[in-house]
Amino acid sequence: MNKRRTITTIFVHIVLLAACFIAIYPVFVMVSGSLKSANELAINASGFPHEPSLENFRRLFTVNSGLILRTFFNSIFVSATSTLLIVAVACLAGFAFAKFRFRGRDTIFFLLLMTMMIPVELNLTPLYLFYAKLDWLNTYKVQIIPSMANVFALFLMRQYMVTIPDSLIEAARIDGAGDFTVFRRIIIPTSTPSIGALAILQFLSKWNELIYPKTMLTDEELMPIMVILPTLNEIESARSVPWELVLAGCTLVTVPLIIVFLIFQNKFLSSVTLGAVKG
Amino acid sequence: MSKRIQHGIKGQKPFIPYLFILPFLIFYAIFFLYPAFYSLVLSFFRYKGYGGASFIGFKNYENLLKYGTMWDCLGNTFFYFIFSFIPTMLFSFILALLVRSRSARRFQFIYKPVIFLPQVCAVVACSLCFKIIFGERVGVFSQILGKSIPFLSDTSLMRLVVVILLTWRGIGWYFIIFLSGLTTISDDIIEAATIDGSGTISTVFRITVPMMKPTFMLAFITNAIGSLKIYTEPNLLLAQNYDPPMQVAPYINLIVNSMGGGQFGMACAAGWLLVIVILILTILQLKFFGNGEEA
Repeated sequence: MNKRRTITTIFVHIVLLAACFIAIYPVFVMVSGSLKSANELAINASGFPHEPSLENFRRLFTVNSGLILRTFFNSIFVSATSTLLIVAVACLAGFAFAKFRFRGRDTIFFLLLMTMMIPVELNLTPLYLFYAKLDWLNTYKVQIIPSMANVFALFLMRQYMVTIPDSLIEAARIDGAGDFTVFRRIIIPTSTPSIGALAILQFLSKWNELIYPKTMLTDEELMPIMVILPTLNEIESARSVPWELVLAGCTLVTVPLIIVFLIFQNKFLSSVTLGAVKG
Repeated sequence: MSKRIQHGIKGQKPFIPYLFILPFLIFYAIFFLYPAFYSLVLSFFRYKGYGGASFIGFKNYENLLKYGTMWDCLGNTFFYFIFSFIPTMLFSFILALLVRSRSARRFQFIYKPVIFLPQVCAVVACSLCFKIIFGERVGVFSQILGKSIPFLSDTSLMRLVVVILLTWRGIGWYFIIFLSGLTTISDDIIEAATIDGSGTISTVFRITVPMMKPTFMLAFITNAIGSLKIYTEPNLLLAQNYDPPMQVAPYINLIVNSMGGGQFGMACAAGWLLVIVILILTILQLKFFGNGEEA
C-alpha cells in the first residue's frame, strides 16, 4: 500500500512538472530569443542563448527614434488611467445598487446585466463614425473615456458591497456622516480587496486590447505598444524578418507583468475567483 | 435576479442614490447604448462613411447570409471555441485535481503560479511567440525535428495552432477556478466516500464532478461569449497584416473587413448577426443549465 502511494506521488508530480514545463517553455523561448542574435535565432530558437546580449533591446529602443518606449508608456498610461476611472465609476454605482433602496433599482440593474450579452465589437463601427465626426480619432481620450462605464465591473463591486452590513452605514449616519462621507470612509475602505482584484482584471484586459485601438488610431505616437508589436517585423524589411526584435518587444511587455504577478500572486489569483465563484 | 427589494437603506435625500449611479449611466448611454442603437439603425442602410445613407431594408443581412465566407468565418470561430474549450476544461480540471491531491497539496505554492503564468503574458506577445515556435524556417519544432512542417501555411494545421495557443493560455484561468471550486468540497465528504469503499476514480466521477457542476456551467458560459469574439490570436498567428486566408479567419474579421472596405452598414449588420448568435447560444445554455439544476 505504501509503495503504491509513493508511485502515485511520483506520477502526480511528473504530470504536474510536465504541465509547468509546457506553461513556461513559450515564455522561455520568448525571453531567451530576445537575447540571441539573428544568426543564432535562425539555428537555435529552442535552447539557451550561447552569447546572450542586450543588443536587441538597444536596437528596439532606437527604432523610429524611440517609438517603442513611447508606445510602451502609452500602454501603461492608458491602462492605468482607464482602470482607475472604471473602478471609480463602478464603485459609485455599485454602492447605490447594493446599499440604497430606490425606485427602479432592480429593473435598471437587470437591464444593464442583459446588455452584457452585446459584444463591444458591435460598437466599433458606430463609434468609429462618431469619433471621426467629433475629431476624437488619434487622441488619448478616445482610448480612455469611452470604456469608463463597465457593467462587469459594476456587477463585481455591487456583489461585494451587498455583503457590507447596513448597520455599519447606519452607525456612521448617527455620528452625522453624509452619504458621500459614508461612501468614502466606510464603503471604499471595506471594499479594498475587491477593488484590488477588479483593478488587476481591468488593467490586464486594457493592456491586452488590440482591435479597438487599432481601429481608432493611426498615429503611431499615440498607439499602445500592442498595436505596434505585430508591425515590428515589417521594419528593416530589406533583410529577413527581424524576429529577434519582435521577441525583444514581446519580452518588454511580458516580463514586467510577470514580475508584478510574482510579487502580488495572491491578489492576482483571487481576482480570478472573485468574478467566477461569487458571480 | 431575486425579488429581495427589502435590502438596503434609504438615501438621506431621495435623489442621492441616483446621483451615485448617474456617472455610470451617462457614460454607458453615450458610449455603449447609443452606438449600439445607432448600429442597429445603420445595419438597414448602405453607407460609405461620406455622403448620404440609403435605406435598403434587410439587404445587408440577406447578403451576409448568402455570403459563403460569412459561414466559413462563423464556422472557424465555433471551431476555435469548441476545440479549445474541451481540452482547456479537461486539462485544467485534471491539473486542479492533481494539485489538490494529497500527494501534491503541499507544493501548491509552486504549481499554482506557474500553471497560471500564461494568463499574465500579453495575448499579442504570446501570439507572436507562438508564431516563432511553430514557424516553418526558424520555428522551434522545425529545428528540433530537422524538417519544416507547414504549421502556419497549411489551412488545417493553421487552425490547430490557434487551438493550441488558446488552450495553452486558457488552462491557467480555469485551473484556478476549478481549484477554488474543489476547496468548497469538504474533505469529510471525500473521506466518507473512501470509507464506504469508493475508489479514487469513482469518487471523482460520482462526487467531485457532480458537485462541481455549477462551476463547469459558469466556465462554459463565460468561455462561450468570450470565444465568439476571438480576434487577436488567429490574426497575429496566421497573418502578416491582419489578412489571414478566409478559410481560417474568425468572425470578427468580417466586421473589420467591411469597415475597412467602407461598407459601414454591412459591418453593423455583421455585428448584429453576432448578437443574435450569442443570444441563441445563451438561451440554449439557460435551457441546458435549467435541466441540469433539476437533475
